[in-house]
Amino acid sequence: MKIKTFFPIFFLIFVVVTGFYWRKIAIRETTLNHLKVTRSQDSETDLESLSTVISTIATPYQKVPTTNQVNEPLIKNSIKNRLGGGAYEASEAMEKFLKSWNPAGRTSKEIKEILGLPDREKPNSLTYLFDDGRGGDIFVFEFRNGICAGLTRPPSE
Amino acid sequence: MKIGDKITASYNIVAGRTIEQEIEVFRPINENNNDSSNPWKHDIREVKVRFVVLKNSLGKATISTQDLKIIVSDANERLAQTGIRIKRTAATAEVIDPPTSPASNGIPAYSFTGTFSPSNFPIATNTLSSDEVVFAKLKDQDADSIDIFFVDSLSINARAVSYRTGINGTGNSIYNNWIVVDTTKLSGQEPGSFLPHTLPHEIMHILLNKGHRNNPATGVEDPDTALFYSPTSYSKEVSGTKRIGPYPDATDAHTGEADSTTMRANAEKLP
Repeated sequence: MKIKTFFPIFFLIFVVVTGFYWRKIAIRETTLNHLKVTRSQDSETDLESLSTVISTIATPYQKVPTTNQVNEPLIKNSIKNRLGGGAYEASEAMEKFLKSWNPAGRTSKEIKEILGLPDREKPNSLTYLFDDGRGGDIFVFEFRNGICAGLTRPPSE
Repeated sequence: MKIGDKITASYNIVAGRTIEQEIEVFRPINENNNDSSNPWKHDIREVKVRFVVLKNSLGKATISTQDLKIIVSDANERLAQTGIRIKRTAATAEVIDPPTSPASNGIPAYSFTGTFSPSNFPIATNTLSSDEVVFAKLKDQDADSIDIFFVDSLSINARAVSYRTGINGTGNSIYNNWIVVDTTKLSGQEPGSFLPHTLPHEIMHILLNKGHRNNPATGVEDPDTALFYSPTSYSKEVSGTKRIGPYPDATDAHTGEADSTTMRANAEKLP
């Protein structure tokens, strides 16, 4: 056959193959855009300390390196008395820790290894409560496809 | 249908002959029964509540009379399962200017900014915030009424703060039994709606004189459909945080088993 006949067929195959490839990338990037730290609709105070997490969490699906490894072994201990009288200090320690540690891209198992067992565990979330009895801070790590995709802080009551 | 309403039941005994029986929703208020094993004998209890609405910086009430009515109605709907209803100390809320006071005797001048700052719990005389000191003085003299203040916002990430007796370490009863509500966090899912469970949840803190029960390590934990669960749900959906204990599916620590009777016992004589 002549090249004139082959060319449209070849071109069609090229478009289909590359189109599929680019679509795959687009889907992945669309998904990436959804992965960010979100705050509940009425949580609007003092999240300055989480700005690092919010700004760096844009590259999930790949584990974000911890910038301050020194804190990791200590945090579990610092937040273990978060229910009761030690809630305030524990919450401060958690806030400080989250300035240098990014949960994005980590599995639930990894987060539990670092922070200890959560107070509430659901298939797609781990909740750590810092509660002195009136409420306090609530940190909810949310997972998609087994990977941490967000951190919300709903207001307590 | 609400507490105190009457239901008329008709029975057809034989053809052409019926008997009617009138039944009140909960027993009349002048009876006295709080037997946990016979909840159908429970009389109606009333908890006195005084509503105080602060004006914002624009001189406007932080919550309107109509909106407050919706919030109170939602709270009554939730508390009804215990036979308790809210008795407002005044037909309408008191709308007041933000409190201020001039400097005197070395105490700096005070002016409420619109954002209420609570101190850490339990509260203590030497750590009280200026807002707490001033607002406690705005309470009424009735030790058996709950004073609820509606402000622009709270300095902490909370919808409301409840000052129950158990967290008062000042030794001064003026700090017992009051609530501060952040009106910027009260909006519900639908336009014009409000979080239906925040107010009754806070009233539960006062009537139970307890903090949250959410310690899985000890098994003392409210189910996620409990009104005492924190945070409460945004709507009145079936699976929302609506129930007051005892719960049929109580945890092994029997969490909330005595909640209804405790609340009823404390409703008219606060802890």
